[in-house]
Amino acid sequence: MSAYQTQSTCFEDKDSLIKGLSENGYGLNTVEVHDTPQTLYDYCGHPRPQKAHIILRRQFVGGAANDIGFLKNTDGTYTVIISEYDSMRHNTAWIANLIKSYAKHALIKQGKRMGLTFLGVSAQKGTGRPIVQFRKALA
Amino acid sequence: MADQIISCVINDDGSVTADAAGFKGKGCVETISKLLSILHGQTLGATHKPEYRQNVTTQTQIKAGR
Repeated sequence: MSAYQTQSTCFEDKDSLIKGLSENGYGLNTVEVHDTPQTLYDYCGHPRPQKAHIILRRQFVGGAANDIGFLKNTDGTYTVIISEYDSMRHNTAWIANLIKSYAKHALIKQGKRMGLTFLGVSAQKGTGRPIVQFRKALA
Repeated sequence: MADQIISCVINDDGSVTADAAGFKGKGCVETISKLLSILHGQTLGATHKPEYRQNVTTQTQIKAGR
């Protein structure tokens, strides 16, 4: 049995997190979303004490994998729950990429909410870092 | 008057640096602060500096942490 580890995150927006996951290996049809936290299961199919609102089931995570969960906290942020075994592949680099994808989608959502015109995402010259651009019409 | 272009660079650590160039006056800090507020990151720093070209414009940069 691989122990589950938890890590607090900056994720607050569910939609942006789901879109971020879709860019990091988990398409929409592989992500479970629940209003109330549901049980996570280990690689044998045994229930574990941990629960989560957003779940990547083990069959999508990989061979001999455990479920991965995102539990929404009372402060609105999500805690990611990953087993020690699965953290070899879903490591800090994977989390970092997820954070970047999340930031992109959260910005796009917020920009549209503010009435800004979304111009697109491009790569910064030299670094390749993503640039999200908006236009704001001035009166 | 030209539109304002807001550029948000997503840094390697997931923080975001936003620039608003092309318009003058106050409001730019508020605009990109509101834009970055969804990230709920700590605002690490904001600068507001005038750039003198043919027309006076301002450039604002705010960085939001993770």
